[in-house]
Amino acid sequence: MQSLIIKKTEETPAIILNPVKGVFQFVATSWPENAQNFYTPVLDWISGYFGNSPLKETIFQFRFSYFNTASAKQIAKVLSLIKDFSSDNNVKIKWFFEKDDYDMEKEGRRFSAILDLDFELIEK
Amino acid sequence: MNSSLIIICIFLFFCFILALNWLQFLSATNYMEIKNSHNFVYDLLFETHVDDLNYIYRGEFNPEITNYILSLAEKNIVQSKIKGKTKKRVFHIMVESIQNINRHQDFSDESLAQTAFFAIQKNGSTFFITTGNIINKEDIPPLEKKLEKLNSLSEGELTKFYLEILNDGQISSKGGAGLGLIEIVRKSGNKLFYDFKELSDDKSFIYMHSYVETNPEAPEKTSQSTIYTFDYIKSLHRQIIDENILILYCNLFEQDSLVRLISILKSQKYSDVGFKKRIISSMVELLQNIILHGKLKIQDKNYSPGIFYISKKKNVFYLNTVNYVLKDDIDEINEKLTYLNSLNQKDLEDFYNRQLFDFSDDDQNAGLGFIEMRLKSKNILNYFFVNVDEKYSLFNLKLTFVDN
Repeated sequence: MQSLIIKKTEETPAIILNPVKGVFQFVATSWPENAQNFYTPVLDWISGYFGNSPLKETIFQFRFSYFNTASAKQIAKVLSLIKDFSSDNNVKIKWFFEKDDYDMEKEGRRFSAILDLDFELIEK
Repeated sequence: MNSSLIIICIFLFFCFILALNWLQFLSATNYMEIKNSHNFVYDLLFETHVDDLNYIYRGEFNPEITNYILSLAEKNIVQSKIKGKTKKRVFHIMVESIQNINRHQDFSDESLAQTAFFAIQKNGSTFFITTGNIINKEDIPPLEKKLEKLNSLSEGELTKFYLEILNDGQISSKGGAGLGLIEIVRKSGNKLFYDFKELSDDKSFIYMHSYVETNPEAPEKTSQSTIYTFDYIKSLHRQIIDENILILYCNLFEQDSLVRLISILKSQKYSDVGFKKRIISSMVELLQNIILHGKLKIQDKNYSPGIFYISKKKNVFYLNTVNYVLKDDIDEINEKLTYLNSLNQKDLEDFYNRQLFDFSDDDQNAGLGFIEMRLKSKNILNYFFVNVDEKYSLFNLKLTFVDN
């Protein structure tokens, strides 16, 4: 399966979904004009990945420093989708936040509390 | 017995009607006060055509902020259908004008240093640039003499004068060679208007106003509206001081302008990082809401014109927006905001969580934006509507942030 690599901009995060190297990352900030359009290919890719030949263990790393509410909703969709596949796959979520970044820590706690996933909060 | 009861009832009924009228009067005056204080804002919004721009910055000017202001204005210049050479001229005048403020800012009194002022306006093919800053009264006579001279010179004489000063190499105590002003007059091709306003025994405020016509075929001055006159800008400056406005932006709202406005906001001073983050994230929600929902239809095309301004009173910041909404949508907005204002922080969090995972709605964020603004500001969302015509109203929204 081909990797999905999206380069970081001022308003959108770097997204690296590389099954060969085993890297699944969301990095930096997310506040695009149309979050739905931005995240649709990501959701499609994740469905395709788990539907084809996923790795024995998949670790998704979220390294956000900021996202707007429209992105929050899309991230909730991404995590819900991962949750759907987690019953048949070994999936882990690692949620990174900078020291003293209470917002991103809080967002991580929110997702971790709502979703029944292997969810680790890590202070950088 | 019965008749006295009836009389009492009638009396009570009249008291009730009187009280009701009084209440209505009170709410009406309160409403009128709010509306009056916004009058200049509405004037700006109504008078700014969708292709035009009104952008005002007031406060401290440093190189970082200067860059962001220039990039915001530059975007508008680049987008307009102006030829390369003329674009450069406009940009050049802006740079010289802001550098002039930078050079003459007086930091000896912090509150005074905060008041420097820059306005760029675009109306049709004409750009208007107005600056204002504090000046020592003793510096006025030589400056006035110089400005009078510049305004009296022909194009050729200006170039000659420019070269003379360049060769002379005399640098003033403020670090400028006086070339900036000559450049402004040369590049604009018009007189540099100026005015002084006395502030104290030894300080005055100096306004400078220039304009550039970027279309050689346009008549002398294309502006039909008073909002582009020097007198209006000066009175606007006084109004934005009264309202404690730091930044005012009147234009179409687009993601691009949001990115640049955010940069300017990021470079302001706040007591701590957490407070700064609350303000910035609320601003993103506030403006993206307008980009998504503030639709004004003009000849089958949708636009999101609006006004965004930040005011500050003591330790309280206010983020204000005014944008067009369809009259049909008012009830829904009203219902949503009334509900959010009735919730406490805990209930708001719960409501946010429910909406976050509600994927049934096609709406981009299903009202998460308003919840976020309410959560981050930790205050009631103040809002009201003002009638425009049978189809549209203006939606005024104000977020309050107390910097403790």
